[in-house]
Amino acid sequence: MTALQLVQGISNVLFVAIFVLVAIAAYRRRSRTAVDTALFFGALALAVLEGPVLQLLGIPVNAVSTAVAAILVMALPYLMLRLLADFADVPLLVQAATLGGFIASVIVVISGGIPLDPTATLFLIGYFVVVSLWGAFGFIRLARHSSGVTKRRTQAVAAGMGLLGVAVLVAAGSTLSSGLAAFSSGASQVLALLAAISWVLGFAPPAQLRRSWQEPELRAFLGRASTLPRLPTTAAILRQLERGAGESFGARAAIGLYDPDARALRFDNAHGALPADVPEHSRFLASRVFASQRAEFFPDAARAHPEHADAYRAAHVGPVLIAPITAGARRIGVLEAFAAHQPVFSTDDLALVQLLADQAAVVLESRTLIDEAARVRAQEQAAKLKEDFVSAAAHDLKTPITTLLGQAQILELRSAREPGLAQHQPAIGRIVREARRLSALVDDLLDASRIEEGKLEVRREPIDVGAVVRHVAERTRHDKERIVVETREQLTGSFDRRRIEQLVHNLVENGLKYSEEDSQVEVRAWRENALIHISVRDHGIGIPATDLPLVFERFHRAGNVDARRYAGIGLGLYICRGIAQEHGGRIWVESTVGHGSTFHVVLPDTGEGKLN
Amino acid sequence: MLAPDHARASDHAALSRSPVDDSVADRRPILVIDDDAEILAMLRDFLESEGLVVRTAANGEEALDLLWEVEPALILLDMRMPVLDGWGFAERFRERRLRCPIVVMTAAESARRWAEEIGATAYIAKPFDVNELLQTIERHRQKDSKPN
Repeated sequence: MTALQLVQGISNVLFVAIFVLVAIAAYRRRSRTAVDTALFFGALALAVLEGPVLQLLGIPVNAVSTAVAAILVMALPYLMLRLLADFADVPLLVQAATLGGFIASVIVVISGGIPLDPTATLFLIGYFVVVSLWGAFGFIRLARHSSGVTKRRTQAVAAGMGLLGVAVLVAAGSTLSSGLAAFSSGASQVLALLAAISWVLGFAPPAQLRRSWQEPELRAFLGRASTLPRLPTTAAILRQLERGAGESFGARAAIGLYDPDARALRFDNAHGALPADVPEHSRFLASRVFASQRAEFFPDAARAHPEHADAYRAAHVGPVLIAPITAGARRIGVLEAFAAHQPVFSTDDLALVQLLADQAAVVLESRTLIDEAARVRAQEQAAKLKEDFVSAAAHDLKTPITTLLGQAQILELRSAREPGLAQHQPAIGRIVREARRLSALVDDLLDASRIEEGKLEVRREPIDVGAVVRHVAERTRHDKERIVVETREQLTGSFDRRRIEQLVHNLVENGLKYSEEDSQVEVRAWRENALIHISVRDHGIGIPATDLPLVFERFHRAGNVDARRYAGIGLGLYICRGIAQEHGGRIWVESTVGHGSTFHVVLPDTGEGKLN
Repeated sequence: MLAPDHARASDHAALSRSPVDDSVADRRPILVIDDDAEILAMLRDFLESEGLVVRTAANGEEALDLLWEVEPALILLDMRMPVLDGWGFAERFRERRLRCPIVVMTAAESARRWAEEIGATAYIAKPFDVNELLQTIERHRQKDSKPN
């Protein structure tokens, strides 16, 4: 066996192997493309097998067998063009001319007999070479417009087609010039082998090679994906994902996001093939994949969803690949890749589209988290800004209030001493009282703001709560006689004296304010195990049941409070609750409308730890 | 121990008499340091009418200059001021080994903590009750005045 025979043997085996592979594929999925591929390699395999088979059967080479082989070979350019037409637009005129050329070749072979005269041979070779090279260029163009693994495989197929054409051209050289016969026969064998290898790489590349071809696009896509969640809008992210997916396939891509309110998949990028909203449970391919949550390949969208066929055709949508975009249990949407013509190799692409969809899920999910975090942050910032503003404004008010209150008090002192000023005493007294109220209001605003920010300072020291309660009752400026204090024992605990005073004072003032002028406000303080219990009871207007859960909220005033009759902005009880909680205690109220309210405060006197 | 100087006695009881006895009125001044001109004017007017000698400064720097020539019986010190604030003033004050009771007078809630930070004798929160202010001054001012 010579080296040339070995080369020929290998390429023949490869041709047959490819045929077996594509024939199995065509049997599994009877698409036009698969059948055309099988026909092309079938013709090639039969042409190369005929000689050895006849030899094996002991049948000598005769005119018929030679003619059959010649016809099979001459069928190759036409079948190749059919294959190309499955993937790309081939003008009808070219298709018709090629078919015409093939029919003419058959007529020439049958009528002329073998060996052919030189003119006929020249015609056949010319036809073959022109059509194969045209086909090869067609595949090269196709490769240029595709990308990723598809591009590489299309390039390999193009190379195979080109090499076959050149191989035939070189082989033809031997018939034209006997001097070149030895060389051209060898060269054409080598070219045929190269063509066979190219086709193997194109139609059935080894897994490793396939992966390495996928890698650059995938790497680029993933690299870009990591920065995507930071894009300003979700729409911008979708555009980038669609572009990236499209480039990876050499096709167009669209992402539909699931809108639970509309129960539909929403496609922002209207590509004409789909309505903007695809209902969740419908015959649309996207909604089918969304329901099954399994990536699917539809060789022909129009056939898979005939009701919508016109729209698919109008938008030049042929084959469609769809994968669900899902993060954990959250179904986000679907990724669709679609083309006017069938992508050359859909089996690889199904895994790829799912991979890209998974990546899209990660990107969109991070985006959701970023959006959520930003929303929370913005809310916090707005709240903080408001607190800062109130607190700054209140602080700035304190300086003029200091002068106002101080000056009014000085006048009050003088009017008390100088008889000539006595007539102004009531007026000056009013200024002093109002300045005090203003001052207390500012203090309340600042305290409420501190409580809101958790910045209320509590300075604990041993105090007798009973004494504090009595002290508050004593220093109350008005209606002192209405307050009944009941404290029997020593109630020493570690608390902030000023804050406990403020707490009791607020509750007592409330009790006085919201009850009749002749009714009592009863203040009690006692010890219950490790708790100091304070209660303030009035017999006033009470609090409606609907307001009970809200009375301790900021700026909340009960529905039965006439704002014109009872001054206040609704901070007192909020501050009381803040003080109780800052001490690890709690506050609550029992009330009946028309009969009065009882406020309870319990404080753990450990100075540490919280109440359950 | 630093105690809040909040007089809780009834206002009317305090109003009826002047807490500063004119007969023992000290010639050593009360130094009031505050960046608010209205507060300075009010306190000067009021404390002088109560028989006290008053010197004022708009910030720590001015006060330190003044301290070269006067030896106050008490300093009323605002904390947040331009040029030199209460902390800066207290630091330089100690560096010069000056001795005099300081009463911190501030609108901040942290009045007590700030007073502790600079080693003040007492504090009073703004807006203050003028009777409380008088009582605080009376309680803490140095009375062992040097004869003129």
